[in-house]
Amino acid sequence: MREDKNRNRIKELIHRQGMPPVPAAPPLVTEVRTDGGMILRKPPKKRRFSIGPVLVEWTYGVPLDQIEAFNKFLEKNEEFIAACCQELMEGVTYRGTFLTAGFGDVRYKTFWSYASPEAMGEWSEALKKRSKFITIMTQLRSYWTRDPGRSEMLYQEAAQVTDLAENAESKPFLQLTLAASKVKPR
Amino acid sequence: MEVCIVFTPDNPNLFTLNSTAWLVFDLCDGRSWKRLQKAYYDAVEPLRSPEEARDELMGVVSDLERKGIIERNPVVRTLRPRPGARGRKTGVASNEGR
Repeated sequence: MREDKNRNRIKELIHRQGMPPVPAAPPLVTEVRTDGGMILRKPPKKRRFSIGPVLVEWTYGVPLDQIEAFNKFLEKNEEFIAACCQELMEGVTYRGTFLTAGFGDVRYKTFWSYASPEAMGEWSEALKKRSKFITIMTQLRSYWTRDPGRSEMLYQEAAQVTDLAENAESKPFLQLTLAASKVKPR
Repeated sequence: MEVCIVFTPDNPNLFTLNSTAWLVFDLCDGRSWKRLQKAYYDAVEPLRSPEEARDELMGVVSDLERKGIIERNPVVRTLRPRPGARGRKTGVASNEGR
């Protein structure tokens, strides 16, 4: 029993790290320190200003008594979700789940970015085989599905749509909408 | 603590095992190679293919063995009796006594 507990903790550690490291057992180099000092951490990697050309946002609420459990679920699984997205799919990135920090409704937003609209199709292949990733994705999605007021939004970079007429060429309803914008309501 | 520090008294040395090497060390409890392979793959799928997991495992078991952290023990397996034949196989690594 005790052994299982210890083993489960090691497995949890691997899981929390996201991408499992290649096993390594280097010699421990010991050092004698004569005084203390602050360890300066490297600044986080510089981020490009845009999250991605295509962005998907899940918005949902979680009952107050489940918030802590959900946050713990995220703390435990987010690195793993991110690593799986990067490893198993091309152009799909998990961007994190955020919780409102102000007053009002307690809402979560989970963001995914895609390198292209086609990259959204990568999920179909990644979700074919049974795996821990699917189990965890199902759990994450279950929080979203439980909220009757949930929503899912798809965004594209605005700067890529500079010619509305050209963009509407294959979209008749958008053509109608653009024409309607020039008509005064009677 | 996210690493396991191992001391090898016969050849005094300290080693730092990262999480996956630690798991392998922990799994080396005298089980068969097949069970070890399955347990390791279960912990790293789907981020490693079965082949990648197997290669990684072979590498780390050899490394841990070379460093004296684990040792291979010959084990006697009870096989289904066949007429005129008795089975004896070599088992896998064990971390017992470390």
